[in-house]
Amino acid sequence: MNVQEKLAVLADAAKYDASCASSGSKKTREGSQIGSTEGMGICHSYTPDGRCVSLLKILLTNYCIYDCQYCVNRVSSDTPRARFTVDEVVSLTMQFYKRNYIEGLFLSSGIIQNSDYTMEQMIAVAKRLRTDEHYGGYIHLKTIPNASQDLIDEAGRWADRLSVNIELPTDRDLVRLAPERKSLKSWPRWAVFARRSRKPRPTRKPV
Amino acid sequence: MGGIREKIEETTADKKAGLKTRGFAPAGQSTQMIVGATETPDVDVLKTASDLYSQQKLRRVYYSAYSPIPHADARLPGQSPPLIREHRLYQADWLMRFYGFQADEIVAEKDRNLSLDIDPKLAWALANRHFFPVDVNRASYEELLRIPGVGVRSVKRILSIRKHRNLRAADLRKLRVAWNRTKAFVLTADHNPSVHDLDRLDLKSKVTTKNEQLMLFDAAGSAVTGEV
Repeated sequence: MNVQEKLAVLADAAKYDASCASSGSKKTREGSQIGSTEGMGICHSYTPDGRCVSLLKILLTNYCIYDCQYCVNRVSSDTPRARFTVDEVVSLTMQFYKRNYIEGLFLSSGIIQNSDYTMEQMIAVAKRLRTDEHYGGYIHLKTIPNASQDLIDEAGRWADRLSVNIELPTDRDLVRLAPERKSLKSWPRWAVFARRSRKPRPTRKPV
Repeated sequence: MGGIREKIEETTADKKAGLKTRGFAPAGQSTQMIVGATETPDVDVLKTASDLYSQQKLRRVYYSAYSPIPHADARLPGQSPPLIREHRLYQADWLMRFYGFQADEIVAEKDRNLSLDIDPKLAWALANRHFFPVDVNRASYEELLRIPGVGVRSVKRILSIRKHRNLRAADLRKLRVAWNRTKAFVLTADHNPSVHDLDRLDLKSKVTTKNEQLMLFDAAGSAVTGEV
């Protein structure tokens, strides 16, 4: 499978991730030689359902060991599979950025082997972009549920934004549709916290 | 993860103290949830989101309308929810973050979902008419933010203008507030006859637009088939 074919499979698989912001970062990081980030951003183009695309939005791989029912990449699905190497994602990002197709990289992944291994691979992409390519543009990494705190710290060092999908709005939905995730232990700590507490909040100051 | 928030707070605190930091996720963190894969109503979606904003200090929560996938499980619905539902959730999200609304007051409908035909702020105004009319020359910032058709920027402009002069209906229109939605809910320095509509039962039809937005992408389809 060549890079174009992989790109077709893995970019298509990433279309379910709804994040189009390429801004919100403070300022371009020091020492970068190409690319910049802004507090406010613009969007480049729109998909047929009205979403805008300004990021190279791809999965590192759509192989996955989980079996979440709502997900097209679940282990029991017969979707075509592909996997990028770290080098391939780095070179794609740089090539696209230099051609002004994208404002940044949005990288997510199916889970292969285990959470830590997958997270390490994604961090490697961000790190290579920052250190080897001196890329200062926007990078958004999905953190993998269950990855160790050290890896999260490392990811935050290279990425502009981190995100964790809470997937479904309530616990009940989650137990029904995402069997591997049903144990709250496998959840990122804050998601569990947010689910459990339903205390009345102090009134917020309007902005 | 909880770790991400702690680490972000730690880094900002260090930075404030004048220490040199390596930087940690300067654009913060976000999340997304799938809407319409289960029958969970919008009010629960919004409550979860508001918890995430207040406790985890997320920058954004993305709502993603469930789209059917091939060979899906029987427990999943066969079709995606209307895209407008996602749009209404984002509008409600903005009301929570920038307009001082609480998650449970936004959803007024009996089935605990946002109404699809009118925007959530207008829906709130129609359900809470005792709050109106709001006098644009006297009301506080928080009260002004609740008027349908008036956004954060307009409110700021109103506040800065009224230091110097009283605002009339024509001034509001000149500020480009959505006057059709606004007119029944505000008192201005001059006579505003539309305020009398506030108690009418058919107020909803008076403040909603009759024109229907044509779809750009339907047109592409009909161009191919030749059917209208």
